[in-house]
Amino acid sequence: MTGATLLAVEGLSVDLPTLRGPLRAVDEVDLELEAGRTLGIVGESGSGKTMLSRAILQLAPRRARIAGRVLFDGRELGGVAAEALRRLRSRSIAVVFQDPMTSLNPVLTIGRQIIETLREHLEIDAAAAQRRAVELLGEVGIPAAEQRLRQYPHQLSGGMRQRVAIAIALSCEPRLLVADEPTTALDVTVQAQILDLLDRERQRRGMSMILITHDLGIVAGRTDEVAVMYAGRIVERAPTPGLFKAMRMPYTEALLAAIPKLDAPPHTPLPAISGRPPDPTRPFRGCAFAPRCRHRAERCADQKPALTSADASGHRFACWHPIDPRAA
Amino acid sequence: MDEPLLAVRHLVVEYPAGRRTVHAVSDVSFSIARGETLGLVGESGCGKSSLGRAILQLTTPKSGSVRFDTVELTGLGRGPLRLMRRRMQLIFQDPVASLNPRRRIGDIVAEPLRIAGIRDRKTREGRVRAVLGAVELEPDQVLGRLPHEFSGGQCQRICIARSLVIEPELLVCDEAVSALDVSIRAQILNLLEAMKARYRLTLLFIAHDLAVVKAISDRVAVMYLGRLCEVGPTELLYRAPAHPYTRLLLDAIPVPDPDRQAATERAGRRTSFAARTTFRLPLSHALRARRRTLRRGDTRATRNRAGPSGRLPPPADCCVTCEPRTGPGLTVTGATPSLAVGPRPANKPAPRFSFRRRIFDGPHLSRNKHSATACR
Repeated sequence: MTGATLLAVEGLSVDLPTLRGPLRAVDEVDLELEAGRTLGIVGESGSGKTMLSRAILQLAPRRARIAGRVLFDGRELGGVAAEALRRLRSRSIAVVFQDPMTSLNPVLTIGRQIIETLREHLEIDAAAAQRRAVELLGEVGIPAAEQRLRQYPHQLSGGMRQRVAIAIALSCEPRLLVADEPTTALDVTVQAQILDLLDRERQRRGMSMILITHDLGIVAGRTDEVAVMYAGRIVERAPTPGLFKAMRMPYTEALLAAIPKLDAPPHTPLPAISGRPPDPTRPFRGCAFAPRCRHRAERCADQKPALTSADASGHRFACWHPIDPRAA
Repeated sequence: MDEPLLAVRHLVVEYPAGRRTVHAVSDVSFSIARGETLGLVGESGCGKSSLGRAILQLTTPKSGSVRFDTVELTGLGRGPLRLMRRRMQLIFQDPVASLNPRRRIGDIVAEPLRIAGIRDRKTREGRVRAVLGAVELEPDQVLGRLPHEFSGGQCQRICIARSLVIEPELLVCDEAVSALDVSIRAQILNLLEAMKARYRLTLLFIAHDLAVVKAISDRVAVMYLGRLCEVGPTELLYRAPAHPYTRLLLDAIPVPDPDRQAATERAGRRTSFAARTTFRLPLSHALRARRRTLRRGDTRATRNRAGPSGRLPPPADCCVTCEPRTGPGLTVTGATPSLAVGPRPANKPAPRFSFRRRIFDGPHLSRNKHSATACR
């Protein structure tokens, strides 16, 4: 199942024109994702993680200037014509967005939305599509599926709506699922259910998945590899167990420290990251995290660190003064 | 000093839903001592926001008593209530939606002072500057700007400043950090702790995430289907949760540690799933609802029975305090207690402003389509 590279991103940059000049949302990102594996992309809001996913899906705003290449199964997506891209997006790549209320059409029934997708892309007749839709809703844990098909999005709870959005995304058996903050709008209990569901369906279908979130806690148990983004760049990338054992980039460590710990006593002050991310319309010479970093030195302000690897484990980080794993 | 600042006794909040009634809060009693932080935890729809609002008399409770300091708030007239509200303030989940997009930050933060009748502009501005400084914003850079120029975290700081400017005694935070990023959330939690010490606040902290609640609370109350199912000192409640529902909430927290998550997965979460479903409705109800055919327009709850676990018998120790589905935003139809959760508008109109006020202010120039249509 694994081994072949399904998705490769090479030197991808996205510039958005603004009144204050071009805003660099994604800055020379390289990624690979093997078939059947899960990649977590973690970062604060504004770190470019969503824009990266849009650029991968070729859904970036039209006015955006995109450099670099996105290769899906060896085929470059940048040059693909609109119609072919549409086919590709449903059958090969699917997306689940953060807010299921806005990604579902409020004036169409759930059934209509699922069946439309199925008929359009799989070219099956209405009866077969109806049967498949019922099956799909069952697979994502929606009971009484036939009745549900006649309901409208507003008649479902947030968790149920997200399940429907996942059912639509899975309907054409995609090979890659991009889940962009799929649980941010949901309760913790529903969040756990939705993440379990995504995990289960991914394994069953041998799908690859990109899970985008701001919470390191979410990627910990559910991804094979994690990429941490800051100011449009990937600043640390490693296999998940390795990353949580030894974080090398001070930003990743700070993100982790900011999560309230269940085993810490009440009123423990949280080590929040002071300051704010840099203004993306102003290019900076050095490391973007340097102004907020407690390990910074002179070099950090002048020279941009590249994403490099210290050993053979595949753990890569962009930092001049990485945290020593033995010191931790 | 032994007298609690807030004492809630047998509070009941109900909303009409067609011919039936939604029991949002059923017979809830608790108290908060002066200077204490009480965390109130529960899933959406459990009635925790209704409870918070009923305490501030933003929704009128059906029965029960809310005693603030020595004053009984239920049944208080408009004038006296307005005076009391100076002593208790509320912070909402969505900081951007709870700031009027057309008004400058200086005016927004000064508003409570104007309502409180402080006529002198100089005094007002002095206090606004002081409180903006306290929430770590630079007054000179902030006063003349509009909400859209700020990030979510900064907007929440502004909301906190607005609520603290008249120096209340009780601050109700309704999911005040739920919409924020991990790193910003930590900043706001630290800020709330600092403000609590500085302004000698008593906090009612409403949230759905037990990890966040633990970080800030002295005592924690867990709410389920309109009732409190467990109340206790924070450490004890987390060390030895007595109610299975509390355990379920604890299990759902994503722990940033792959090994421990794998362990939870193997040991606990599957079973807590079953507990969750049997919690929602007694088994017989669940099965009955499944067999019934639905008519057009009918809505039925299926949240109760997600997955195959509905077949499991309910654990003996739960279902005891649970009534069939209650909560705000619920629509009730049909004869069985099956319900569906209604839509929750992305941006609720800020309850601080009456519709009259919003209409007089002119059309909302919000970027959000929900509030735009709401004001048309």
